[in-house]
Amino acid sequence: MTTSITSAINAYSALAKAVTGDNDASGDASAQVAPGSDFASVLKDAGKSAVSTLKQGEIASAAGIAGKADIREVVAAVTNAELTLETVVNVRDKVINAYNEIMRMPI
Amino acid sequence: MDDLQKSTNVALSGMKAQTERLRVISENLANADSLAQTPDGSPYQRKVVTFKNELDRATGVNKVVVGSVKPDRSEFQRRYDPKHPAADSDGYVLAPNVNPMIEMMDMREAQRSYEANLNVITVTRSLLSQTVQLLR
Repeated sequence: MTTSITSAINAYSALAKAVTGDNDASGDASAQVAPGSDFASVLKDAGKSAVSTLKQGEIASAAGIAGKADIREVVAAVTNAELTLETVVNVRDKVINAYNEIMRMPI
Repeated sequence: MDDLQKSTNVALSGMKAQTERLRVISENLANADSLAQTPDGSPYQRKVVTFKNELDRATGVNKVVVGSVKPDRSEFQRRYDPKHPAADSDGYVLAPNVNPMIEMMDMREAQRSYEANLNVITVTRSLLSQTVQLLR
């Protein structure tokens, strides 16, 4: 096996950055973990931004029920939230799969 | 922001503009019989919607907004109705310059435009969803 675990973790953190929309780093720089930020904190940030998107969807739908919001804005916010949740669930499944893969590795 | 999400936002602005247009059309249609109230008064004047593009600085895309709702300056119709309180000495009353046929066609156009924007949203949404599905 030539693939090391750290490269997999780097790939995941790059993905988490893409999810959060944090695209200031470009090219090969995005594939490296920034100093001082580990995998857990990257995931935490991604989770935070996902939760804020979900909250926006909730606020918009509440305003829509109250008749205060434009129905199209409600639909946009809820769709965004749905898509974010889908992404988060899929990424989580992938990470758990990778973890299980490592746990099953014969030592 | 993702380009697909940007196009969703643009389509949403188009839908919003078309609903405003539809509202004005409904005003015109509903007031097609709002005649003048006095012999020298004027009846309901047809309104026309104009659209314009607006650069959304946050995302750098051109959205569509309703520029202004202006009165239609064409001549009022004259209806022969001597019993109407606002009839002039010849028995004619000024009627709104609304042609229901034109309003119907405008309405159909607004509907088709709204549906086109709706289709853009459906397509972008399904593309985004399918891309996320790749993770599985």
